Amino acid sequence: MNKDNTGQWIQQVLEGDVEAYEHVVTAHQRKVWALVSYYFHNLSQITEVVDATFVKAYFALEQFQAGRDFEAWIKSIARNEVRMVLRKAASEKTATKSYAERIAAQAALSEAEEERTEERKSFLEDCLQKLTRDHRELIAERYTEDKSIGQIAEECSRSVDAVKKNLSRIRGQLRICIEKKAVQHAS
Amino acid sequence: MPREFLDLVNGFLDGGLSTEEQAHLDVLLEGSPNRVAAFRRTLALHGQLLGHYYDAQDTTGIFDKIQEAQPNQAASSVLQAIQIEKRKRTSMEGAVVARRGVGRAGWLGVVAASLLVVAGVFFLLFRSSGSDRLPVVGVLGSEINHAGKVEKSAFEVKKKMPTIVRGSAYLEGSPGAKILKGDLVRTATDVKAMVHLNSMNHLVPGKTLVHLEPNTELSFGLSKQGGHRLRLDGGKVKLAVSRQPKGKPLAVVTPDATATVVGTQFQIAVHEGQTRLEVKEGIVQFGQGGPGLHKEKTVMVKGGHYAVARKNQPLHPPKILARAIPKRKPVILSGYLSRETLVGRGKYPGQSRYFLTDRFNNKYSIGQNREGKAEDLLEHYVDKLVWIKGRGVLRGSPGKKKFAMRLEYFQLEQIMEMANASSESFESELGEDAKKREHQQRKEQHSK
Repeated sequence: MNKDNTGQWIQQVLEGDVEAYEHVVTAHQRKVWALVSYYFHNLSQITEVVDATFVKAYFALEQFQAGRDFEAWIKSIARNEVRMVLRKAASEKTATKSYAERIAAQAALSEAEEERTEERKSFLEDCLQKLTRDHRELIAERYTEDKSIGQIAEECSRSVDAVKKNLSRIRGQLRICIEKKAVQHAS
Repeated sequence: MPREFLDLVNGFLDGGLSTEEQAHLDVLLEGSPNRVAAFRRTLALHGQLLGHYYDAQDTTGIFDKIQEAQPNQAASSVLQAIQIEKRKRTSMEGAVVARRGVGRAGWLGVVAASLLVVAGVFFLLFRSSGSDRLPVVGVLGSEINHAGKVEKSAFEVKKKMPTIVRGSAYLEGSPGAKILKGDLVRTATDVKAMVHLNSMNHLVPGKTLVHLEPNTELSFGLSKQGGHRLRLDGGKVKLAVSRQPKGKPLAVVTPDATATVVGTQFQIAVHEGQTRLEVKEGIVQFGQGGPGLHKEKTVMVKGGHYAVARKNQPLHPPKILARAIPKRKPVILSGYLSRETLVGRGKYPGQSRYFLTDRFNNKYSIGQNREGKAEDLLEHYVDKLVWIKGRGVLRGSPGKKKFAMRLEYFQLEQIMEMANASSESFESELGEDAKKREHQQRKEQHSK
């Protein structure tokens, strides 16, 4: 889908053709998804925030100035939505949250973390290529399909423990590989 | 970092931690900046992977929320309008003190203006929700690209049109004609048709295709959950179904059965009091009777299988489609082999399985039971329905072994014949392989 048509689609939406908004969503959903996924580690949470972002953008579409960068505009809406959700969560359940969850929320609120992950995106792609095919398939299955470990284990006829250990090992390998690349890049 | 800590972190990400494990992870994190840093790095990687493996998401949620929010927005507009009128009224009331005669007229004006505003907003609401029109569920006979443009007509070759029955009206179908909820599409003896079903927000054409064979009658509807619901009264349809949103599966209902599908390729035909479902890819839930199927009366039909539902007869388990077994020349495959022992699983407790991925990314599993019978060497490949026979020599360290294997493809009948005929030779060969392996292991131990 060509993003260049975004201005035209927005114009159609503003003229009453609501259907054109689906094209806008499809063209920009990937970028918004990638941004939101830095902050949350749960697929349903990510989906919820991405949906809320596009709903808000729909109702604020009249405020979007023609000719400006829509991607930057929608990303700023997504960031605000993320902050709002995180702050709400932090103020509501701090006492009941585990320490690990609190750290995750803090990490998500940090802007620097996002920049770092943005920078490392290309490193990840390289490092994924270095995995064995089995490992690549396993990690893809975990992250593409939103399958539980139990489901993955059943499908590839392995024990749940074996799948867990494999995922842990793969993440470890990726982390080390990305760190190395970051050091090389910096030097 | 200790293994235990990393396992807990991964458990945290994959959602498999018990309360005790969660508490243990907290203890390990508290007071250790190094562990917190490692934890944050893993979280960042997790986020990156989620972003990397993004799969185009279903937009239904967005449009549902927009629809939910729209009445609220309209209602808030009504409130705003009334507030403006109230403000005007207050200022008018001030004037009433001075000019009593105008007061009544002012009130009437306010009430009339408010009613006009409310009526106007309700008019807009009803117009936008389209409650006076049936929803469009698909488009007839056109290849439509993502931008919504018609690329080519499915009628260019045949030049014959199906009939759309809408209520009591009979309409001649044409490429790009909209199919509304409740429409019936009928194909004559020499006519085929294709329908692009709309995506689940029922706004634009989706990727789900329905091919109607000649002499077919198919009605298009929507279920209570909002999923597509097709009723096949006669004939045959082929479907290529893209992934359907959660809770909104596509269903094909026939007089004898219902096929519920999440995303797959299959065909379903009604003929002489029976319904036959053939699944090419994916999984289809197939059950006897109409809506409200009982779980015990349904079977899951996988890719490469078929099932038949007949009136007043029990539903049999799905069978393999003969054409799903490919005819291929013997090929040599090589790859990495991992070995796992599956205890108490499947038909043969204690069997060993070998998993192999070839260069085309096909996966195979080759097994052997305790007795080492040849039948058990011929394993059924889970997804692709390929029956294989494999032999190989294992080298390298246990667990993960560099492997070379010769695999041959046969028709099912041939395999069974071969299995019976050559069980002895297989056993002896396996015995030799086992001896070689033992010898190798002894050698390795000795050298250590």
